[in-house]
Order: sequence, then C-alpha cells, then structure tokens
Amino acid sequence: MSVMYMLIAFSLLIASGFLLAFIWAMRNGQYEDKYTPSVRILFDDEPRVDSTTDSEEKTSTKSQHTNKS
Amino acid sequence: MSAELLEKTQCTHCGEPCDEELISSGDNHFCCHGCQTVFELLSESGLNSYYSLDKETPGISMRKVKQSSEFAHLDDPTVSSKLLDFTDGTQARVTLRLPQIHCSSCIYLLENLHKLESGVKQVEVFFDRREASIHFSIDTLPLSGLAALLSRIGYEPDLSLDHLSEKKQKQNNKPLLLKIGIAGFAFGNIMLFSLPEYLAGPGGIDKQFLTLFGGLNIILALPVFFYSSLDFYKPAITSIRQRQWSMDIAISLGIIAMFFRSLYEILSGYGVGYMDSFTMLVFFLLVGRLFQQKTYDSLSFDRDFKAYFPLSVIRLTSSGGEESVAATRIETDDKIVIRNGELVPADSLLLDEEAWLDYSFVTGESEPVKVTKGQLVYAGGRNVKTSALFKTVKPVSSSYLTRLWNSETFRKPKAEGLYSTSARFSRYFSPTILAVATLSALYWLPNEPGLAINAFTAVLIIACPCAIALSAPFTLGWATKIMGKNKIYLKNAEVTEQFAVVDSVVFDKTGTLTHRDQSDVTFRGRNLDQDEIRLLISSLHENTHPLGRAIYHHLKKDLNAPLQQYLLRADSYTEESGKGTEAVISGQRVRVGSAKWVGAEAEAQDDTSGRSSRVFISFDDIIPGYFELANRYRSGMNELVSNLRGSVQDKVYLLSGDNDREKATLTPVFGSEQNLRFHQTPHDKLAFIEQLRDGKAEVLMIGDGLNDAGALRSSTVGISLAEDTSSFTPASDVIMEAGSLPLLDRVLNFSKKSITIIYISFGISILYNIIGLSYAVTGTLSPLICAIIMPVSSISVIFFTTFATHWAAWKNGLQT
Repeated sequence: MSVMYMLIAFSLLIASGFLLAFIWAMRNGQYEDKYTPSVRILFDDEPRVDSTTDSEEKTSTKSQHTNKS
Repeated sequence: MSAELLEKTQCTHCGEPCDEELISSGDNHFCCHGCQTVFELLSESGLNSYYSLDKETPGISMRKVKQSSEFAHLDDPTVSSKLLDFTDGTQARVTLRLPQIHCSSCIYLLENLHKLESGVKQVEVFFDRREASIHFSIDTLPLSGLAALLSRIGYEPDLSLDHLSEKKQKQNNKPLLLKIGIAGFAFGNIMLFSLPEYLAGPGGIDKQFLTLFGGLNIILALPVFFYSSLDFYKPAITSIRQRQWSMDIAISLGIIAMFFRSLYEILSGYGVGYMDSFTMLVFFLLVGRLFQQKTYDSLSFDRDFKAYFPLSVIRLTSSGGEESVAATRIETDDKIVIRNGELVPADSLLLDEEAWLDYSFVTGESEPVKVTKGQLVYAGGRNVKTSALFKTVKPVSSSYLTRLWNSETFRKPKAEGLYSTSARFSRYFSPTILAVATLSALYWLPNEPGLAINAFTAVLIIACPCAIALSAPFTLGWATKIMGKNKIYLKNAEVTEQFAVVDSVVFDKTGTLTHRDQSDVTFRGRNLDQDEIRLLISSLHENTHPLGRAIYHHLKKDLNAPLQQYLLRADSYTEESGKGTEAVISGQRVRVGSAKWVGAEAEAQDDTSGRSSRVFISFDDIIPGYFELANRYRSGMNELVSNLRGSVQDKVYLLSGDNDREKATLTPVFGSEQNLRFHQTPHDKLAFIEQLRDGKAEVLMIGDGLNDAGALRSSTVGISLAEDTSSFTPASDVIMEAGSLPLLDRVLNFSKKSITIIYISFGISILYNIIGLSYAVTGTLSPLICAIIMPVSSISVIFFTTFATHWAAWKNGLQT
C-alpha cells in the first residue's frame, strides 16, 4: 500500500503544477482579452506587395470576392 | 442603370447602399469619396485581406465618420504627456480608445498599421475594451499624425477631456478569478481525499490514511479559508458594524463553523470533517459572483460632462498668435477659437459678428440657434457652420452646464443594494438561522453538553445559504445577459432589481421619442411638376444643411432615373449661412431657405402654430409653396407609451427642452396635459425627477443627451439611448440601442418576473435547508449528507434559475 503515498504525492504535484500555471497565466494578463488572440492567430503573414500591377490584380480578385458574398 | 439598382449597389468598403452617390472604379463601387480613399490606401499597402476576412464588408462608412481633421493640440506637451503611456523622445506607446472597432477585420487592419505608415512599430488591439495599444516612433510620427492616420481610415480615436483627469480605474476581476482557481483546486483535491472514507463502507479506511488525508485536507483548506473567503468576511464585518443583517453574515458564520469544526474533528481524530463541503461552498459562491459580474468593457456608463468637451482649444495669445491649450486650463477672459463642430467648453461671449450654436446636448432643442456679437454662449453648445472667436466669462469648472455636476445628486454616489432582493430576504433569514442554532444548543445543553456544540455548529453548517446565495446572482446574471442580447446593456446586475420596482416612467422628447436626424417632410403649396423637382434636387445636391439634406432625400425617394444623368449642372451656387441657398440652373434662379430669403414674409406670418420648421422655395422669385419638416417619432412609440401607461397606472411623463409645438399631438398619447412638460432646462429635469422621488416614486428616466444627465442620475433607473453603442452617452445605469426602445415595457415585465424567480428559488433552497436542519438539530450531521445536500441544492437552484429566466424572457418576447 505504500505505493499509495507516492501516487498521492504525484497527484498533488501535478495538480499544483496546473494551479501554478493558472496563476501565472492570470498574472500574465492572458484573461484580459479573450477575443482578439483567437482572431489574431488566423491572420496570414502575407508578403508585402510592392509593384502596383500586383496590387491591382489583387484588388480585382478581392473585390470580386466581396461582390459575391 | 436604374435608381433601384443604384440603391442596391453596395459600397465595396463599407457595405452601405450607395444611394446618395456612386463612384465606380473597375469592379468596385463606393458610396463616397472617403470610402474610396480608404480602399485605395489599403490596396496600395497590400492590406486587401481586410475585405476578405469577414463575410460582411467591414469598412466604416466614411459618410458617418465625422472628420475632425484637427489633432494639432495633441502635440501640446501637457496633453500628450497625459495620453502617452511611455515615451523616451523617439519611441512612444499610447493606448487609444477606438470605439469603431467592431470585427475581426478591424483587428487585422489595425495590427497591420505598420504597413500603412512606417512610423508605427506595433499595434495590439484589445477587442473587448475597444482599445489599441500603439507603439510608434514619435520623432517621425507625432501623436497628432497618428490620430489623423487612424481617423483617415475610419477609426477616429475617442479623445476627450476625461482622459486628462486621472486614468480610469479599470474594473478588474483578476483577484476573483484567482480566488476561484484556488478554491476549485482545493475543492477537487479534498473531494478526492474524502471519497475513500465515504465509499469505504462501515469498516472505514486504514487509520494511517485517515490521518494523512485529514492532514492534507487541512493544508489544502487553509488558503481557501484565509484567501478565497475574504470576499465574504469583509462585507459581513461591514454589515455588523452597520447593525444590519446580510447574507454574508450567514455565509461567514457557516464558513467559520465548518472550518473550525472540521479542524477540531480531524485533529482530535473524531471524524473526517467537512472540508470538502466547505471548499465546495466557497467555490460555488465565488462562481456565482463571477457569473453576476457581466460587464461591458466597451461601454462607458460613467461619462460626465468632461467626456463631451474637447481635449484642448485654440487660445489667442496676447501677441496675436494661436496656441493650443488643454480645455481645463482655460481661464476667464481668454480668447478662444472654436472650430466648426466643436463644443464650447466654458460660458463665453461671442466676439465675431454671428455664429450658430446647436444646444441639443444642453437643452434638447433640436435646431441651431443664431447668436450675434456680444451675446452669451453657454458651455456645451456646439458651434456649427463656421469657426468663431469667443471670450470666456467663466472657467470651465463653473460654467452653466458644469454646475449641474456640482449639484447634490452627483456628489454622493448612488446608494447600492437598496433594491437587493437577497438583502431584504436575509434580514429575516440570518437571524432565524442563529435562533435555530442557539435553540438547539440550549435544548441539548442540560443533558449532553458535547452534543450542544455539535448541534450549534451543525445548524450553522447545513443552513449556510449556499443555494440561497446563488439564486440572485444566477437569475440576475442571466437577466443581464438576455438583455444584452436585446441590445440593452446594464451597468451591473442589480439594475434588473431596480427595473422591477419602477412605478413611473419619464421620457425625454428630442432624440428619444423622436429620431435625432430624421424628419417628416411635407410640401404645402401647389403641386410641383417634374422639371421643378429636377431643379430642386439639382440645387440641393450639394447642400449640407440638415433641413436641406432632409428635403433632398425626401424628393429623391420617388426618383427612378440614374442620379448622375439626372442632375443638372448649376451655373452658379451660393450658400448663405442661416438663410438659404441660391442656384442658377439653366437660366432659372432657384432659392431654397427661410421665408425671408425667398421673400415670403406675408406667408410666413400665417405660421402661428409654429409646430414645425418650414423651408421655402422660389423659382425666379415665384414661390410655389414651402416644405414643412416635423420631428419624426420612432416607430412603435404610441404602443409603447400606452403599454407603459397600463403597467404603471398612467404615470408616464414627458420632459422636453423643446418648445410646446407638439403638445396637441402628444396629449392624447400621454393621456393628460399635466404629464407633459416643455421648455425644461437640465436643472428643471433634475428637479422634476427629484420631486417625483420625494413623493416615493421609483422613476425610470429615458434620455439621450447631456441635458438629461442630471435627471438620469437622480432617477431609480436611468436609461440613455444611443443610435449605436459607439456613440457618446451620458452617465446612466443602462445603455440601450435606440432600436430596442419598443421593448421597454417587456423589459419591465421581464424584470418583475426575474424577481419572482429569485423568490421561488429561495423557496427551493429553504426546502433543502429544512431537510438538512432536521438532521442538524439532533447534532448528528454526517459529512456525507452535508457533501450531498450542498451540491444538489446548489445545482438544482442553478438549473431552475437558468431555465426559468430564459422561459420568462421567451414569454415576454425577448431574444434569448
């Protein structure tokens, strides 16, 4: 039965780990804005379009998209 | 392309119908030049994803954004030092409120602002608060430039005088979350260590494990007792000091009894204690508090007059130069320049020949007033049409409008908890529990003194009003959320309880019962033929006066030809401020404006009723008639007022800063002339509400402007109405979107139902309490029974309140 002592110790250790993680996240401000990060992660970091022709092309494709929707 | 098609073409940038004008470039159509500019700006910078992220077109209609291009005052060190979070001369960080943020595309655009302007280093958007924290190089991009850039793409920062006062204390539920986290952690683990004992059957578990589990339970319970429960002790001590019974007293007694009895039982080896029930109780109660704490970070319920005033104004120096100073630093006898569209910050005299002031904020009067040289202008008036020079006669702090805030009403904070259902209930509950506990202790004391203590603590433990304390938070929390879905935003959950006691309703007229910018247009005179209408439309096309715009839209409604070809080019066009316009189109002189402007004095004198504004027209000095513009009432108002009259016994009043020209129309709606009051100053409104309150009435006031602020503040529930939630609203308990106003009577019914729901769930919890107490008074309360009753009662109350509030909302026709 002495293995129980070890298991209890482990379970408490792991649980405390989660508690500390929660406290850390709390203090780190992760609960302050719950919406923005969920959107931010979906943005693609697209390459910067320098030439005007490219951007015009892009403009027209995008606008078609908008018109459809 | 027919006009119908024109109406349906949506602006590529903002998605609004291009009904006024249509600018096409390639496949893209825009409703105004502003939108086109933003679109081109974004596509040049490769930010086209802005338009493809959301299903709907994300842009902010540039027609709606007021362009105050002047941000020069932001570079004034006294102003900028208060706005900037940090600066070292080259780099700076600023947190700006951008109320226009509304979708994920906004986040995308703002966080990629560095692609538009290299001076911007990094932007982080906080969507919930409608804020952006911007890191930028202040040496290449001054703060004014940043503000101008944001406003150019449609996100005009909300900069007003109240930023200059100390930074607002942000409501913070961090500590509450931490307390919940710790209580939850302790609860879970203690339950784990307690289960073996409950499940072990009659033999119990090994003695060594019992000691170990007991010890661990004590260690885990300590932070819950000393930290997580703090929120209950403090209010309990306060109410004891005030000699009042509150729910927190019963809760605190229960907590203390549970903790110490468990401590005693475990340490003496007498039992396993109630640590599991204790931590569960604290956890549930704290979750209830969190649930009730629904806040709308993006809304501001506490705006005072400062929020309306400009951050800074231009002051003429003695040498004749101009300087930008913070509005708070304006002193008597300063000469200030107020630009078109700005508010006058202090009572002043006009130095220019004439100016037009819109006092709608202050008085509710909807039309601009003409002021001539030397006349006194009150703070809060908006200078329209031209910029003008003023000399201040009073500092900002003692001006006409500001004085309202010095009245008694604003000094003392609004009493809280006055209408709290649970506070009223606990006045009976807490003493009853103490009495039962004492009686059962006294009963056992003569024969079995040991049992007396047991019975006393057991009663306190089992009666600890967990389910009762959850009833109100969950009901009110749900009510707040449901109303939020209906675009009615409550300052806090207690407002529902205030709604429920309302017995008088007071309406403001301008902007509340009526639309702020829409009016009914009728033409009186001989019929106009097609050519004349064409001339009128062409001459009004460029007109910027609100009355002119209203007539233009009215005429254009029946038009079914494409606008571009239909419009006639004017050979000459002049607009005289405050008089009217003159256009010469294909040889005809078209005049639109006041009676005097077109030369119709004789007819103007016929106008004795004064019920509405009139705009006269003339073609080559022949006057075919005039347009009459009346305030347009919001739809459903008749119905709303009559429903409300039914539910509050005819105590529905109307306060208007306007003149009484609509009296005849409104009297049948409100029932009696005595319920209508016109020519009300902000002070009159405040006094009227206070008079009602002195007569023990619980008043609901609905207003929209700064002029209602005093009345909103002194009423039981103050609702400020906003066309959209990003617009300014005065301090109030509720911010309501104008479209939801017809729901008001249903909201009142729903709130009353919510209070009934709270009482019913009190009944349910008391039922559980009686079951538990029947064990407790005998002094034999097993930890197992305690650990079962506590969650079962709490969870059934949570289920009941959730179900019942949604049902009540559905019954009342509110969205759930």
